[in-house]
Amino acid sequence: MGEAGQTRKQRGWWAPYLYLAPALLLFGTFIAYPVLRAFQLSFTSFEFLRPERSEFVGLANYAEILRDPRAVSSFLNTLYFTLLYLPLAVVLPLLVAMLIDRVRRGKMVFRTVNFIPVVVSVAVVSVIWMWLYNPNYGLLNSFLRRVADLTGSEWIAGLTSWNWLGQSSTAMPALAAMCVWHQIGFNMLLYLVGLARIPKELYEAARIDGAGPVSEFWHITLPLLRPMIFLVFLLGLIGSLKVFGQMYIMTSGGPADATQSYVLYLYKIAFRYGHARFGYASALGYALALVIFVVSLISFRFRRSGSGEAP
Amino acid sequence: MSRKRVMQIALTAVVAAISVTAVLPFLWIVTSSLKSRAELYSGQVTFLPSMGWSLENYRKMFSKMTGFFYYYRNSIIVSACAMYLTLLVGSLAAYAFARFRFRGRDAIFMIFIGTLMIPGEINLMGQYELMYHYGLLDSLSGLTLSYATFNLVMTIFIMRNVFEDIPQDLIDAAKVDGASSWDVFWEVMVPLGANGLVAAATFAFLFCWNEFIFALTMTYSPKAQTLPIGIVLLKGQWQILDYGALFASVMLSFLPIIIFFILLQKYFVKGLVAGAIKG
Repeated sequence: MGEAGQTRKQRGWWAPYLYLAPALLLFGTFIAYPVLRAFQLSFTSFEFLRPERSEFVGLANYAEILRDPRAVSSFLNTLYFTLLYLPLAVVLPLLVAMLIDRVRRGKMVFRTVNFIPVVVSVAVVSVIWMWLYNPNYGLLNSFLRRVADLTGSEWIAGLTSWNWLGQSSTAMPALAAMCVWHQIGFNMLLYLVGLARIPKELYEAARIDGAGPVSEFWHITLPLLRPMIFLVFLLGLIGSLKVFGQMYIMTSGGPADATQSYVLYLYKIAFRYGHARFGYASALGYALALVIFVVSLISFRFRRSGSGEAP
Repeated sequence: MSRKRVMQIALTAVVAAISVTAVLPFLWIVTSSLKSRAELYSGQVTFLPSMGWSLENYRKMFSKMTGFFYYYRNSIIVSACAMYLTLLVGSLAAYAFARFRFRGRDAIFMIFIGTLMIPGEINLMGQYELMYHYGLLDSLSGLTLSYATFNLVMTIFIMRNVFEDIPQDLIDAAKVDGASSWDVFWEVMVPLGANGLVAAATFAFLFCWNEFIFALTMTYSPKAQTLPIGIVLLKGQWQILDYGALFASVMLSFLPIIIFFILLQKYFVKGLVAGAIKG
């Protein structure tokens, strides 16, 4: 039944299926099949390099995740990363967006410049930041050296040859700082879209009622921006649970597994260690999907229960 | 009144400082790539070249780092092909979803959108197996098909909305002139949906240009490795021997995409915002 009226006579009822066919073919081959295949593999001991030994093991792979200390610690590392990254990745872009929103001249230029890091790949950004963090010829330590000279602070002087990515105490914070920097522009843009949607009359009305900028922020900006803040929060949360490239490139998960993220561990299980345990890696993948599904569900619940004040 | 002006100037200064931080690492790479070898190895780290500007690093990059151009070429081919494929296949599907009523339409659409919730990493194992069996590992065509599919749902999502907004009158008018639904797609939908297509295209292109984990998994030689993988490999090989040439290659790997973005930013922003809000 085509809405496309008379074309029905020429093309018949199957026309839409024909238009859909290439998409279904690609989707079926490169998404649906791998997703279902991983589900099946997750219940087997399948190893890619010796497939003949594969057998059905039920839920054993899923049970192994909980007993595997490296899987558990990689998940905890990911949570630690999230804790360092997410609050800053939600709040800092909001500040930047609100400042840019108030600038009268050159708003577009500032928006554009702040967005630039977003279009550069994780790989290139990671390589650049490895140089920034380099203990000997990095910009960060050379900057600290300058500051130490100027202020005479011994504490800063002690940091000037610090190996930021090589020490387990600072490796994760250094990675998180880079990720925050990389993400600010994108979240800022979402906030600017949200800010532009707030009717200006509300601010004028508040000003007539004698509200200051602080009370404007709490009573107008924040409540009306809630959906966008929620979006930024949820996207940031999902993104940080899947963090991979930065760790793979900058630390390989080291020192001593301190920055081994969950997806990095999954990748190593599937493609680096032993006989390529696709079965176990698939179970790790589905466990992650479950975690993401649950946190999304909880977040949505949270938003609904707290949305009384937001229009 | 003048207090307001002072505030505005202070605000602009703060925002300018923030903007500088956003691009400082890139600027440092640009200036460092123009330093002489002697300065780079002198142990003094400066922001601007203190011993004169030099193109030495670029010359060296062109003569020594041949791998770099393979990676570059692969990235361009894969990103462009995947972008066109996903636009063609995706907008045809979006046309079906937006302009036809057929059995299973809503169910199929929901399944498409639903997979956006599933983390892509789950696909790694199955796709690897698939590509292994069909000889697509370490090939540009394998990566292209994979990337085109990843962007497909996004493209369908954007283009369905665009096609739904095209007035029925225009379609009817075309049909009075004897156009088939295929003609309607090319003569009405595509021209009127051009803005949406460009937004979807920039989104897809950027994804392909920057993608890391699948490129890392599915390719293993300069025959098919893309720029993100290449830059990491080059860093491993050259960081001690000659990191001036590396600065030059890193600089060449981010500069085009930044210029591209500045020129097409209207579409970039539209595509990326649509991409974020759908999820």
